[in-house]
Amino acid sequence: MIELINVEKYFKKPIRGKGVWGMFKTLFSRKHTLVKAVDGVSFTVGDGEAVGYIGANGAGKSTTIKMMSGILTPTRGEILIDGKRPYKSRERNAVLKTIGVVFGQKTQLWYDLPLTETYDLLRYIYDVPEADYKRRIGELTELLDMKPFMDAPVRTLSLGQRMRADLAAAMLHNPKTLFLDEPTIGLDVLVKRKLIEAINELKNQYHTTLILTTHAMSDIELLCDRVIVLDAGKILFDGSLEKVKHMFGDKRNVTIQTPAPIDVSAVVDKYEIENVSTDGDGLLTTFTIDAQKLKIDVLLDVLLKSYKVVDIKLSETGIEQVVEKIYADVKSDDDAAIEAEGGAQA
Amino acid sequence: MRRGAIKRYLIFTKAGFQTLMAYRGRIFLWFVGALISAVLMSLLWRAIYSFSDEPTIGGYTYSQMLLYVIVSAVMFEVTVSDTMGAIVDDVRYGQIGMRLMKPISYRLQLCFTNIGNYLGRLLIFGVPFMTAGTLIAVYGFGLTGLTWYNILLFIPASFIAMMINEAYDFLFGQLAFRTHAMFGVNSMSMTISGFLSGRMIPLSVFPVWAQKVLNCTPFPFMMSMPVRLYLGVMSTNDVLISFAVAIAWLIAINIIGQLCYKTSVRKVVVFGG
Repeated sequence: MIELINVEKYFKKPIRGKGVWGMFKTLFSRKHTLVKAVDGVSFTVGDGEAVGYIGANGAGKSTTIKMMSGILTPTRGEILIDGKRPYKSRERNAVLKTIGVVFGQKTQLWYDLPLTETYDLLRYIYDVPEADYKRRIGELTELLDMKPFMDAPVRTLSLGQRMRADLAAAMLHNPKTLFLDEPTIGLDVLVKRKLIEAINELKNQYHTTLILTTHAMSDIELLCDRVIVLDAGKILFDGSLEKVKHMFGDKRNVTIQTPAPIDVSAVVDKYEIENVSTDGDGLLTTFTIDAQKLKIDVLLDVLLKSYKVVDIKLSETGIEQVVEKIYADVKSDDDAAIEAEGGAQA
Repeated sequence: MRRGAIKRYLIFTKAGFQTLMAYRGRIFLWFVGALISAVLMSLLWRAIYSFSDEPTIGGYTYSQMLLYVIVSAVMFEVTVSDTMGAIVDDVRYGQIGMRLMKPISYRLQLCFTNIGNYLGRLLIFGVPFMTAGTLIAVYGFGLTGLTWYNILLFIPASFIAMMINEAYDFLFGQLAFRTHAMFGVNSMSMTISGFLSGRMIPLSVFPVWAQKVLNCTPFPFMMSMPVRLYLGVMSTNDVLISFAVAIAWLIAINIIGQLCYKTSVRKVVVFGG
């Protein structure tokens, strides 16, 4: 079980002057601002739960993961992983043996060694008994389809191969908890899907607790049952995936390019369209719909019949839009509460 | 340390050894580098000896000086430490967080990896180069005074020299947590140790007062002492004392390094991986 109790992490950041002279002055200045990367976060994750930990860039996700995996010490508050604090030197190794970490932007593999040697190294680091090791490496090799590059030095692997290899490295000691920090970053759609499927299978097979940060909503949908949304170091939302979907719906964006600005009122009046925005001197028009209420093929049909369309682009909503929406909802709830309170007092 | 724990770190020695073998071109370049350095230095000393009226300089005959130059060139390539480079890479490429996230000591990991490097360098480079150099000095230039036990004792002496070198490198390497100007730090620390350890010129040509001062530092044990041991110019008494002092320095530098590391690592911990 993972417990975070009022965790805060502040960074000191020197105030930098502008230009060469400003930079020079910074050298001798001790002035700094306090950046609250994580600002009073509390949550509990039970064994075997899969949590999507999302937020815009700089929301404090990675900082939280780094604190949970023992490389950052919280400024205030407490983190307990099965009752042990990862940032205390005495309890650290015990915690580190029960967690696995995959950072999409970094690797834990040894660049110059063949993959098999890296795994051998990890076996000793984590004291994995030989029989367990053999069995698990067999399973992982098959599941992640790593056979073709098992003997290749890590530096020669492609990004997709490396991510799979990194995932296997994180799972080798059968950790109780797996932290995944943007594991699908930079991967193409096919490789991404395969990786997510593999993670899902690992999770079910080993009953691993999962904490995942990502910018792809599809990753969350496939893997997580619960979502925690972080914004500016504070928890904005903590609830089930269903609730997020319910709040947000199944949103799609359809962008069409036309040779001249168009009049959208005919379409908007007739069909259930949530939002219309234009860009590029009115030549690019984006229709946002809820795919549950209006089928995408119906909309495309209507658009193609109504306008002279040069180009079409379909896109899913990103995490940023989800956060924005949740933020707006939470805020309006707060406002309503304040108003209600004010009304009662009056 | 438990037996299992030692085994866990020895695997890094194996990895260091393997990493070393990963680049054939690099091994070839050391050969060329050491060869050029040894040839140039021996020519330079040849010129110096021909202008000198004395048969010896700093107590060395020309044939001894020739072997000094060869052995120190080999020693340098064999005992050079990869620790600072490893820290710099780990910090620059953001791997440091991943390394610190492992349930093992980062310090020992570096140290044991470097032992693997040392063994690899000694085996594929040190042994053949030293053998060739010694044969040339003995049969080509009539060098005498080498003994089997001195040559055997050279192995532990060079090991301790490598370990001191590594601890010294770790001490400076920690600056990577605080500054990006590691190229400067590296060349500074290399120049200091290169000059003061007797790699560039034997310490016996330094003024007497300078030799006295240097004998109170760890530098002679990084190069000069093992080379002199190999040449057979040290008395038995001197050898025994030198080993004791070298080990004492090794322990002392590691303790200082560990104390500094405690504050350095907090720096990493503050700024994140």
